[in-house]
Amino acid sequence: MVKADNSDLKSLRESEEKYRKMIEMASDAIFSIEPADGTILEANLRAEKLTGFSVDELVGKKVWELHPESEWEESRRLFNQVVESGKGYTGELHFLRKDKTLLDIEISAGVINYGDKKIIQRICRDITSRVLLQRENRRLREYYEYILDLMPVGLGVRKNINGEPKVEFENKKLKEIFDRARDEGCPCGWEQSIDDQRVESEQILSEDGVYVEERIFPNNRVYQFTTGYFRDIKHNWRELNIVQDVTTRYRLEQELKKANEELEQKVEERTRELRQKQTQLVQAEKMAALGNLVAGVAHEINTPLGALNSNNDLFIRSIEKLKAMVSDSAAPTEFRESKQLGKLLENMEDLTRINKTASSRIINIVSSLRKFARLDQAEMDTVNIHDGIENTLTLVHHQLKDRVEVEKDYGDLPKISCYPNQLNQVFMNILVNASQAIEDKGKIIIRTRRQGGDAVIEFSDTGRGIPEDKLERVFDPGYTTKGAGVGTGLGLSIVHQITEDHKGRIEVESRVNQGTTFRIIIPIRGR
Amino acid sequence: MVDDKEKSTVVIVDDEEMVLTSLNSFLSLETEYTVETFTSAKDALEYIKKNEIDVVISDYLMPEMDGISFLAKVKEMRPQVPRIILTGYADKENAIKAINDVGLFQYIEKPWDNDDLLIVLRNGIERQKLMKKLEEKIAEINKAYGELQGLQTEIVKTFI
Ligand SMILES: Nc1ncnc2c1ncn2[C@@H]1O[C@H](COP(=O)(O)OP(=O)(O)OP(=O)(O)O)[C@@H](O)[C@H]1O
Ligand SMILES: [Mg+2]
Repeated sequence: MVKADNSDLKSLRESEEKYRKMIEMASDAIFSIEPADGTILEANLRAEKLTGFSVDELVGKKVWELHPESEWEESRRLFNQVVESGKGYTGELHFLRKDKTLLDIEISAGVINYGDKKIIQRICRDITSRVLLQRENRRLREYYEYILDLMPVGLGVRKNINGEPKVEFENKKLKEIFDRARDEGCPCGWEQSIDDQRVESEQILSEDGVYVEERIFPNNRVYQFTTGYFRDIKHNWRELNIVQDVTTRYRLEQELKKANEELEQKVEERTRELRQKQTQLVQAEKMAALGNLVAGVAHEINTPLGALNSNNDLFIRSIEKLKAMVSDSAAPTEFRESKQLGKLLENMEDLTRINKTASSRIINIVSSLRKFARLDQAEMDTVNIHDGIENTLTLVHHQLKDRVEVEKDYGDLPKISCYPNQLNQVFMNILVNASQAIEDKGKIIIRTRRQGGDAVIEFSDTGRGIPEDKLERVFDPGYTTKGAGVGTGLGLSIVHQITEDHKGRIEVESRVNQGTTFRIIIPIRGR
Repeated sequence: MVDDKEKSTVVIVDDEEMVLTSLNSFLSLETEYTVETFTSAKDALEYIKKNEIDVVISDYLMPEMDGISFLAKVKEMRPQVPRIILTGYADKENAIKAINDVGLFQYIEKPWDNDDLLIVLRNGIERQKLMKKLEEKIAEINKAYGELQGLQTEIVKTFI
C-alpha cells in the first residue's frame, strides 16, 4: 500500500465509499477479479441474484467457474485477453446458477487500477428478455419464410445500392423459377432479369402503384411480374416482386386470340362471299330482265326492219331491172337518151345503197344485242370467244367511235365451253371500264391466245391507270372512283365472280397515266 | 328445176301487213309464183282446205294462232306441202324443236335476206313437185299392178 496524507486518504475513502454504493446499487452483476489467477475478490448484490450464490460463496471462486463447464475455456480466453491487452471486451455467455439453471448474460470487462494494483472488473448483464425476444424474432422470421416458401408464386425483395440491385429475400419458388430459367439458357437471375432480360413486354398497367407486366424470356417462357415499392423500418426503398410463370396461360391466350382472329377473318370472308353472291344475284336478275326486254324489242324491231330491208332490196332489184329496160334497144329513144332519167336512176342507186348499209348496221346491232343477252343460252355451251368479243364490241361501239381505236390480235383459240352470256358480260364490263379510263383519245388492244389448257384473253388500254395501292380493291363490290350515280362499282366484282365460276382467274396490271391490262385466264374444257 | 310451167302457189301468213306486201312484191318481181297472203291464220286454213298449194310460209308470233300450231294444221290437211316458219325471235332452240315436232321444212329469221328466202322457197317447191311426181308414179304402178292382178285372176278363172 502507498502511503497518503490524511486529506488525500479521506477523499480517497469518500470516493471509494461512493463507488461501492454505486456497485451495490448497479442492476448488473459486478465482479472484481484477481488478474493473476481469475479469483473473484468481490461481488455485488446483483451478482448474488444472478448467480444464486451468496457473495461469500462467490468470493474465492475462479470467475469462469460461474459458467457451465463447456464455456470455461471461452470465459478464460476472454479473461486472459483482457489481462494481456489491458483492453475491455464483450461477449455473450451463460451463468450456471446455484440451482443448476442457465441464465443468458452479456459480459463486458475492463482493467481498473486500484491504487497501484490492477484489478479486472467484469460486468455481467442479464439478457434473458433480449435473447427471448431475439429467439422469438428468429422463430417468427422462420415461420414467415416457411409460409412464403409454401407460396406457389415466386416472391422476392431487392434493394438498390448504388444502382446495383441486391437481393434481400427470395422464396423457394422464386429460386426454382430462375434456376429453371438459367438451366434453359437465360443468362442471369431474377434480380437482373427485371432490367436486363426484358425481351418483350406486354401490357403494363398501373394501379395503386402496383405494376403488372408480362415478360417473355429468351427461353420462351412468359413470366408475370407484379412489382410494388415500400419503405423498410429505416425508410429505405425496397422493391417487392411477385413472379409467376404464366407460360401456359399466355400460350392459351395467344391461341385463343389467334382462333378469334381466324374466326373474325372467316366471318369477314363469308360476309364478302355472301355480298358478292348477292351482287351477282341482283345482276343476274337484271340480266334476265334485260334479256327479256331485248328479246321482246328484237322481235318488235325485226319485223319492220325485215320489211324495210326487204323493200330496199326490192328497190335495188327494181332499179337494176329499170336500168336494163331503159338501155335496152327496144326502149324508146327519149328514154334511152334522157340524161335526167339516167341521173335519177343513179341517185336512186346511191340512196338504196346507203339504205342497205344503214339497215345492215341496225340488223347487226339488234343481232349483237340479242346474242349478248342470249336468253336462250343461259346454259353451258361451247362457243367461239372471238364471236362474243365481236358482239360486245358492236354494242360498245357508240362509246368508242373514233375516240378509241380498237386493235385486235386474235390468236388460235378453240371453242370454249362456258356460259356465253356471262363471258359477254365480262367483256362488256372490261371494255366499258377501259373506254371510260381513256380521257381523250386512246387505244384498246384485245389479245387472245392459247396457253396450255387455258384460253387467255387480254384487254389493254392506254387510259389513266390504277394507282398501285388501289389495285387490289378494284374487284371489291362497291369500289368505284366514278362517283355516286355514275358507277355502281359492281362491274369488276361481277367479272371476278364469273371468271371464278368458270374455274378461271383474272389478273390486273396497271401503271398510272400509261394504261391498264386485265387478263382473263379460263380453262378451255370448262369445269 | 322440175317442170315449172304449171304455176306454183305460195301461201304467206303474217299478222303484219308490211311483211306480206314486201314478200308479195319481191316474189312477183323475181318469180312466176302465184302468191296468196293472209293476215289471219284461220283465213289461210280456209283457203288451203279448198285449194291446192305448193308451199306455205308463216310468221312465228301471231295474235290468234301461233305459227307452229298453224303449220301443224296445214300438215294435217296437206302433208306433202313444205312449211317454212318466219321468226323475229332468235329462238333457235324452240325453232329446232318445232321443226322436229311438227316437221317444218325450214325456218327463216327476220330480218330475212331475199336471196336466202328465194333459195329456201325454190328448194321447197322443188321437193314438193318431186314428191307429187313420185306419188303419181306410185299410183301409176299401183294401177298397172292392179290391172295385172285382174288379168291374172281372169286367166286363172279361164282355167278353172
Ligand atoms: N381499265 C381501267 N383503268 C383505270 N381504272 C379502272 C379500270 N377498270 C376499272 N378501274 C377502276 O376500278 C373501279 C371499279 O370498277 P368497276 O367496274 O368494278 O366499277 P365501276 O366501273 O366504277 O362501276 P360500274 O361498273 O357499275 O360502272 C373503277 O371505278 C375504276 O376506278
Ligand atoms: Mg365498270
